[in-house]
Amino acid sequence: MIKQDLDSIETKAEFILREATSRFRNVAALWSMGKDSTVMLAIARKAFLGKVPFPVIHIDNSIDFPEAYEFRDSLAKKWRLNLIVAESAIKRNLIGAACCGKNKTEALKTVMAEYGFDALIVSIRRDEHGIRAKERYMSPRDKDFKWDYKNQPAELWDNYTSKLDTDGHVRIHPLLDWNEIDIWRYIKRERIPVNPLYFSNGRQRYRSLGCTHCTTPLKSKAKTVEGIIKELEADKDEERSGRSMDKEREYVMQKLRALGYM
Amino acid sequence: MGSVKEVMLDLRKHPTEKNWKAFSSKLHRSSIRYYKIVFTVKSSSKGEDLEKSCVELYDAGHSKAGTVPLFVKESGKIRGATAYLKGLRRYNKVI
Amino acid sequence: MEIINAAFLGNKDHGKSTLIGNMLMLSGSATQARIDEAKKYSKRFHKDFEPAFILDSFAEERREGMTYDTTRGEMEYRGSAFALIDVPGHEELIKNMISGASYANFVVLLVSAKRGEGVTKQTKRHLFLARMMGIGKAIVAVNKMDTVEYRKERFDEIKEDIQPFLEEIGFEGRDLFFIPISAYYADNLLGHSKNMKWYTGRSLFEIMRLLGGNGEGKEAGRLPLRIAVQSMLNDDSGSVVVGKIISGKLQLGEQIMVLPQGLVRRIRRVFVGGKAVKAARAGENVALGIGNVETIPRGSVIAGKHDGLVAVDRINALIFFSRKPEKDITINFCGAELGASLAILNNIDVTTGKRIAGKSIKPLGAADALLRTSKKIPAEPFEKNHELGRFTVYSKGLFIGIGIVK
Repeated sequence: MIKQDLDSIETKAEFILREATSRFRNVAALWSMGKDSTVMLAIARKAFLGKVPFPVIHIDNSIDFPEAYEFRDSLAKKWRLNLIVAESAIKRNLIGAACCGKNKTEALKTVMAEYGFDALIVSIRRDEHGIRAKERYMSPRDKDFKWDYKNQPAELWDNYTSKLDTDGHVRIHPLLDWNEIDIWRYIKRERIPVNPLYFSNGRQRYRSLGCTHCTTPLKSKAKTVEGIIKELEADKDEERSGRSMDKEREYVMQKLRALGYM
Repeated sequence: MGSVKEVMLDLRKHPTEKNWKAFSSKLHRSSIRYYKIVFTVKSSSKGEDLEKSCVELYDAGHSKAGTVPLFVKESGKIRGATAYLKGLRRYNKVI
Repeated sequence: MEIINAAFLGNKDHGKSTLIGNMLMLSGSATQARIDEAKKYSKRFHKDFEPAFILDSFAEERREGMTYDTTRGEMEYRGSAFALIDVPGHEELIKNMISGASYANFVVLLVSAKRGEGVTKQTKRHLFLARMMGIGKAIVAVNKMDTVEYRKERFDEIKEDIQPFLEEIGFEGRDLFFIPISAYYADNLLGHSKNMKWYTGRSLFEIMRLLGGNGEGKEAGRLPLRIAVQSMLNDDSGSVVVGKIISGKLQLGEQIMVLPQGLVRRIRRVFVGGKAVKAARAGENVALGIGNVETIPRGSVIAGKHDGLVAVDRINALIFFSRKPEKDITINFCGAELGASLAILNNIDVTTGKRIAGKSIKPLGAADALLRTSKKIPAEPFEKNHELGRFTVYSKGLFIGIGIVK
């Protein structure tokens, strides 16, 4: 895993966040209390003179980890976040990606419509999955002309993902260039608080956090950020081994993208 | 209201929001420290899993303190109840 | 480690995806999971192992065997790191090509040596665009040498065909390389092929390493101060102007000018990364307190007071059109949109680089034009400052081209 220059990628993320609030009327960010979206919020605080100027949405399916709920509430208080909790349903007869995808998308659509958000900050990274490797800093996907982040107006939509047209919003991806190891190196450097579930309890830790139902831990003894970084240095496997969602085929992922789920 | 154990009993019979709130408020003054979610049937639907699963609770010494459901049932609707376990940590005794 | 961006250009079917897939795999940069998946998909589509699948992730692309959108794979090998950016070769997808290539430090142009597949118009178009966007370094990789028995004559033929054009549009000897390869059989990719003993130059990777790292960062620092204003923010002490320092540097107390307004102010506060600092330099995102000001709109530019930067509304430009425009156009300059009109002076044949008479606009063609903007903008020649010397063109909300200031 390539360790990038943290200042460069931080500056770029900061720039993209500022572009988002400048170009769009009503911006919100998704927050899963995971390490990536928390890093994004930390960078937002730097970009906006110490506060996060946009609302932060948690799509809650009600079976998240207790530690995640605790982390959410304490950080929201500490960083004075404008937190919106959008409840997503748990339906029967749907499992894994389909369950998360469809229901979370429904909840997201509802909250977007209710508040009229026209841009949504999502903390995905290119290295996470093949399909995400095709993403742009500001979506809808392709056909935007980028010269050092200069982006087209939101009116330009791509034919391949036309399903998003009706939603009428643009996805903002400030962490696209970041690798998993960069996230942890940044967390270490900036001393960013993270969900304790990322650290080992002696036997296992979680590499990626979904809800209690679909996340499985991986064997690890890493109890600190340094420990995690060391493990990553030694490891060449894909990150999401742990979330049953991602073991499903890429076709399904692509369908979810088209539906609007991140 | 009664002790934590009494509240847990109520919960198992009637996992209503009221009972969950009562449980949650008693939680931090109790000796319960850890939770362990026991999914009875995994890889079936999340909805069914909820009703069939439960949460085991343990104290600081890793002794079992009781069991509660994993869901809230209010007017026929089911939702997960993990938020009410806020403050607890994942069971971590290394064997 | 710095990741150098390399954009891979060339016509479809000439093997870019295969080349990138193999570079990633051979350098150990493709995870085992990716390789396994590529194997799985190769089987499903009844092909022998296709390295191209490592990169192409969209289901349709796998089925149809072509790239729709730009994508990138990161490669680390022997102390160097590259982002291999694959852009679509289709004419209809020229916009995607522009997006992908716009980040590049250099381009790798893939040309097939196979009989019947040589240098195409699209190839030349891509090169013209790359050069226009400021990319000055290129590697021409003549691919599929295995289909022509690795013969030097064929390589020379192609080299002779394209070299004059490259030099015409401005790629110069020292920054222009030619290399014979076979992407599928990995000849000359990371090491030296045994099949082409007549080629004594470096391998593709070695050339990339040589070209990578352009020192642009240092360059930017030496240029005059330029900040493109993104917006304004408020904190307890007042309002601040926010933007990225494109070039130059600044210090607390210094006098600056805001254009096109012509406003002169002293810098009273400087914030970088949320902290108050005394100075800032190119590449950093700043927030500047310059006293009480009326709203400074997005697209305004902050420069040194004595830089002599002026705002203009008549600009000589070189424009590439991906589509034919309607009468009214808008341009996006430094992040802000404004109305404009174009008077075409003459056309440019992008496949030769030569100017030709004609005042009508041809799609996928270029032209010298006089741009008139509805408001004055602090534009500068592209050679002096990339960001202030370029703009994008729209017509009825659709992207139709890119332009640079001469």
